[in-house]
Amino acid sequence: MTTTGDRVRAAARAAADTVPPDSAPPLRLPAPPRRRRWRPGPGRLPQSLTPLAAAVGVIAVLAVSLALTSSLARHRAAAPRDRALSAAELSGVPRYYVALSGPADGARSAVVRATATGRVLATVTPPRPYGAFTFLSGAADGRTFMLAAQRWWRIVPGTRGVSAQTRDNATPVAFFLLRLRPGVGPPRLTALHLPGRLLSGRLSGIALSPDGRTLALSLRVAEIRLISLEGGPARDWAWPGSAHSGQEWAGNAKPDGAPLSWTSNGQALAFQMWTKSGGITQVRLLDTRSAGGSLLTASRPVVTFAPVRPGGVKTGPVGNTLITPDGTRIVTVTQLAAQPPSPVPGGRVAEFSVRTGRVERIAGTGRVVPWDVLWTSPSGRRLIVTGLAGAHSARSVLAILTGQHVTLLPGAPPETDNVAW
Amino acid sequence: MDIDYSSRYPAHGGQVTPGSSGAGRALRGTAEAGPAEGRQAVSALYEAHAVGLIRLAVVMLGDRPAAEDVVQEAFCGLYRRWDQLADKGKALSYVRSATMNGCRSELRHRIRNERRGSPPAPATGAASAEQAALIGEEHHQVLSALRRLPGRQREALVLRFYLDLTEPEIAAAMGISHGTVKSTTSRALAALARLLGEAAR
Repeated sequence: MTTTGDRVRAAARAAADTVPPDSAPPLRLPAPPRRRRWRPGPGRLPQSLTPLAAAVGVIAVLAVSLALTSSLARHRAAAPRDRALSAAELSGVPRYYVALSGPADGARSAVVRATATGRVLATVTPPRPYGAFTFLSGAADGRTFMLAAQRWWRIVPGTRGVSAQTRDNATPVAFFLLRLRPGVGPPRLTALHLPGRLLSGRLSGIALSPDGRTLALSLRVAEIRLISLEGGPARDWAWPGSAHSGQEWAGNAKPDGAPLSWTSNGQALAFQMWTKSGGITQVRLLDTRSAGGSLLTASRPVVTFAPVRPGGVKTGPVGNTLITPDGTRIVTVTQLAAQPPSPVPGGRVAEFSVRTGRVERIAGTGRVVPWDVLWTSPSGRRLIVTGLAGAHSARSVLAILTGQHVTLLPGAPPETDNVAW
Repeated sequence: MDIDYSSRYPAHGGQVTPGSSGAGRALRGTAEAGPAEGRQAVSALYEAHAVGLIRLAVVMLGDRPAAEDVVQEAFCGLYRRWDQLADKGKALSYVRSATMNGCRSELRHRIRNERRGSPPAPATGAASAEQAALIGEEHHQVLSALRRLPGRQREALVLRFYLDLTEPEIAAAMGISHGTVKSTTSRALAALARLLGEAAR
């Protein structure tokens, strides 16, 4: 018979097990206390200069006070101060995130930041000969991240022309595991030697499994590849006929974001299906236990969106379509028409039921115009989104959504497209 | 291939220099140890025991960020008092007591906030569903009931059943007599069984 004590023991251990080993945050000790030393003799002021020194001291204190007062007044008038978030506001949200930072057509590094304050904890640049990190994805422990790197940044279609676009689609992609080691030392970047040679132009998204053992790749035109980081052959699923027609593809059309997402048990991988004219038309679930082969037969549709109307507002998702780790919902941002006088199109965070494919909930976003969902808690009760806020919706922000409550994350990086928790 | 980017990582107390790992070795310092040695010893102790103490605080508070803050504060307190700590070998006991005290303060703070009408504490509010999903409904129920017990009873149960401390050890950790540990534990178990019975009904 199980006693109350046994139940307490089992429950306490289950709660304790939610804290993985090596997951303590960095220890930040205060500065060592200064020891005041009395220096007799030559170090002391001559007695005759003491009144003068006192007068100079008083004037200096007054000057500093005045300067500080006016500076603070200006600061308060200009903008509210970023503040560190409280434990309640951050409950359940991972402590650190990694953002890719740098010019779109230049070197891109990975910047590790604290979620509570936005403070930069580390900046990791790709080792030579690689010049840019292009994709990133995090495991569920909040400490392990996968980074894809290539020699030069793949030029975004439409900004530099076709010739430039093809310039760096032919160098091999390298993968690196970034491990945060708070309380132990600096983050560690480890190069991985994965099977097969992959050229940068083929990669359109990555997702590290929650246990950090499997890497999912979205490959052009419509292919998904799973690679076990513990060895063994890769498994591929391809959409039949897509390579020839070019009319539809899996994954993403843009070199940003997270088009793939895992359930917490690692058995299902959500991916986007695109059509050439209709944008994201479906979110499908791939059964990752299947042996590989046809992406059509190994997956099933869970949400279907109406294609974009010619000249109309895109009604489907604009970016990521994340499955909640418990596998019950797809969370995404769908676009709305701009409301004059604002020129910025609106957006709303919608949660679709995996079971019915219908919208279950629209999250409140307050004054934030949401642009993308970047992270979801196990059941989707808490989300982190990127969006625009401030006067004329000109400032990129990161925000936690809890039901209808919005909490802005302080110190958001200037670029919020490629961010992973 | 391992590549460290230490030059780009800001200095913090958690850094441990090569050869300094192991709390026991670092704690052999003397009472006259300078700030650098204290920093190194506290960092090594943190490296060895932080996760265990965070787990303890998570059991007490049901909230990981708050637990991490409490443990961080406990180690900062240890560092501030390092020079005054006569027996460096008792540093772990000190920091464990400080963690329990921090949890007590945090819970008192939450109760005060709830009385003032502030949003409920995360352990009983928004995070509950996430916690339940992670640790299972049965365990979640037991932990919720545990957190409804008075502070001293809750502490006694956690020390007894989670840390598996003996009654004399619990008495030392809580600063109460051996007899009080017995009666507190027994009352706590009865109260918990009652609460769980109510929940089941």
